[in-house]
Amino acid sequence: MEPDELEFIGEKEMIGIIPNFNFDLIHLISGTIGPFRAGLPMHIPIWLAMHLKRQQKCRIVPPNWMEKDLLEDLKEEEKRTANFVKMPDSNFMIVSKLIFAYAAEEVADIEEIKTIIKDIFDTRQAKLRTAMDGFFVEEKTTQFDGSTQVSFTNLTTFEIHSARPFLPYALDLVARLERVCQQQQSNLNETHNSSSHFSSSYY
Amino acid sequence: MSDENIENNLNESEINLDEEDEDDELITPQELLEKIEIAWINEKSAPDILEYQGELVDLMMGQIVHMEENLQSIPSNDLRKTVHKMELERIKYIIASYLRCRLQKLEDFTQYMIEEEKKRPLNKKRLSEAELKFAEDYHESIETHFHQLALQHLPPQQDDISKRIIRPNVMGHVFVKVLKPCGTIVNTKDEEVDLSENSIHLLPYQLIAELLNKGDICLI
Repeated sequence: MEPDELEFIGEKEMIGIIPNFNFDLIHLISGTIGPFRAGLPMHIPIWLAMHLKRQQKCRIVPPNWMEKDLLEDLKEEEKRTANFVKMPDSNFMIVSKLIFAYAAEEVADIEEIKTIIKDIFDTRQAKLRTAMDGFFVEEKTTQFDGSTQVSFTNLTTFEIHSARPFLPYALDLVARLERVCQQQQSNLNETHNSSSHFSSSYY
Repeated sequence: MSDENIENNLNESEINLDEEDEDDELITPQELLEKIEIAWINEKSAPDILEYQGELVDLMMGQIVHMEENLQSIPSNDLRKTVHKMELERIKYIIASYLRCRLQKLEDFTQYMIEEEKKRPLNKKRLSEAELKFAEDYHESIETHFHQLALQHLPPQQDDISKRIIRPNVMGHVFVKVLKPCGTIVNTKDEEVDLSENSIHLLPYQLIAELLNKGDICLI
C-alpha cells in the first residue's frame, strides 16, 4: 500500500471535536454521528473532523493519549521491553501526523510531544530492524532453541508497511534461490538420464 | 419534503439492506463497509486473486445509489449533503481500488488465472463473470499480438505456450493479523507458529490461504 492509502485508512479513526454550530444526527454509512451541539464535545471520523476544522466549524480535541507524561511512560516501556509495546491506537503515527498538520495549536506542549513520538517511533524502528535481521541470521544457524520466531504483534499498520518494501521481498528472494538451488541439485543427479533443463516459467 | 422525512429516507437504507440479505445473517451498512475494507486490504496484500466479494460490492453499490437519490432532495448548502457526499466518495474509492487491484492481477497472470478458475468447482469460483470474460478477452488479444509480432516467425515446436505462463508467487510472504484464534501452524522452517488472537506474523501466503478464505485472519 502507498503512504497516502495508509493515511486514507487512518482517517476513519474517530476523534473528539467541539463543534461551534448546532446540527441534528447524520446517518452515515459508517455509522450515525451527532447530534452536534455548539460547545459540547463529541466523536466523529477524522476525515470529517479535518473538513470541519478547515471550515473553522469546530475545534479538535487531541486524543487522551496525546499527553506528555503518558507518552513518556510509553517511551520508557518501549525501551525496557524486548517486544513491541501495544500502542494506544492502531494508527498511532498517522493520527499523530494528521493532528500535527491540522490541529497543532490544540495540543499542549506540542514540540515535546512531537519529540517523544519521534523517539518512540525510532525505538520501534530499531527493534524492527533487529527483528528483520534475526529473520536472516536465523537461517544460517538453523538450530536455535526457544522461540526464534520474531514477534510482530502490536506493530501498527504504518510500521508494517515501512518494513514492507524490504522484508517480504528479501525472504521471497532467499526462498527462490533455495528452490533453484535444490532444483539444480536434483538436475545434476539426473543429468545422465535426460538433458532436462529447469523451467524458467517460475517468475 | 420536511427535514424529518429526508432523515427517515436516509435511514431507510438499513431496513432495505436487511431484507435483501435474508439467507445470511443480518448486516448493517456499517458492518458491510468494514467487510469491504477488509476484502480490499486483503486483496491488495495477497499475491493470488481471492474470492470475489460480489455480494458485498453489490449491496454497497445499492446503498450508494440509494443514498445519492436521497441526497438530490437536499439543498446543496445543507451540511448533510457535503458530509454524505464526502463519505460516498471515500467508499467509491475503496470499491474502485478493490476492483482495479483484481484487474491488475488478472492482467499480470492472465493465463494462470483462467486455468486455475477452470479447475475450481462451481461453488468455489473466485472470479465474477465479468472478470472471467475480461481475462479471456485480454488473453486472446495478447496471444494474437504475440503471434503477429513474433511467434509466427518461430518454428512451431519452439512456441510452447506452457513456458510462457506467468504465475504469482504463492509462497510470497505476507503480513497476517489473526482475528480469531486458530491454533498453531508449522512454517517453512518447521517451527510452530502460535496464531493467537490479534497477533501479527509474517508467513508465506500458501500456508495461510485457507484461513484467509475462512476469514479467521486478515492481511495487513
